[in-house]
Amino acid sequence: MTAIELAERKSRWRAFGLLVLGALSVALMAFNLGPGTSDFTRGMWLGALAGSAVNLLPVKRWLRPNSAVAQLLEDESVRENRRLSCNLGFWGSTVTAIVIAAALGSGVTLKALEVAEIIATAGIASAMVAFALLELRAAR
Amino acid sequence: MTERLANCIKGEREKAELTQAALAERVGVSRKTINTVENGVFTPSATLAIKLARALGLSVEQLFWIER
Repeated sequence: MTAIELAERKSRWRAFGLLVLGALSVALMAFNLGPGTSDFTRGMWLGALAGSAVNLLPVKRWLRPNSAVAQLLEDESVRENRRLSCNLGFWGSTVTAIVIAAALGSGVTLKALEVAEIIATAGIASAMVAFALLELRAAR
Repeated sequence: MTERLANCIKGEREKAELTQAALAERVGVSRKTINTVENGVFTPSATLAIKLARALGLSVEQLFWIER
């Protein structure tokens, strides 16, 4: 298998992995807003979110700068997709924060920890899903 | 008025009997990058445009042009 084929396969798995991690982060956040929350589920949410955030960074290129596959996994179009998705993540968390502020003003009550969870999840999950979809579209 | 960078990579690549993967290997990028540049989804940097033109034996101006 050539480096091009290997990079393509890894890139596809990375995109699917990001979609799964995004869905898991949102599901755990929703669970944590309910009455059944515990330190364990909050820890799981934090772990999923940290894993997601790491996947939004070019970690492989930092760890293995001379690897041909790592370079292909982080070439020009990937960097552009990463930039676009991080922009979208920024707007996702900003809009969520504005919506929460409006909701809190109209009588909804949320704990500070819950607000932080919702905003962080919205930002990271929207960036991850956007990155995964851009990567899958590029691979078509 | 909007401008976009058009290209004839697909035609030239097929003329040279190269697959997207083969061209990607020559240039040193992923197949996705070739695919997105060909379809106009991604505008390449000057460096990549020069590499693509060289790989296909053309000048940058022959491979890319501005469309209004």
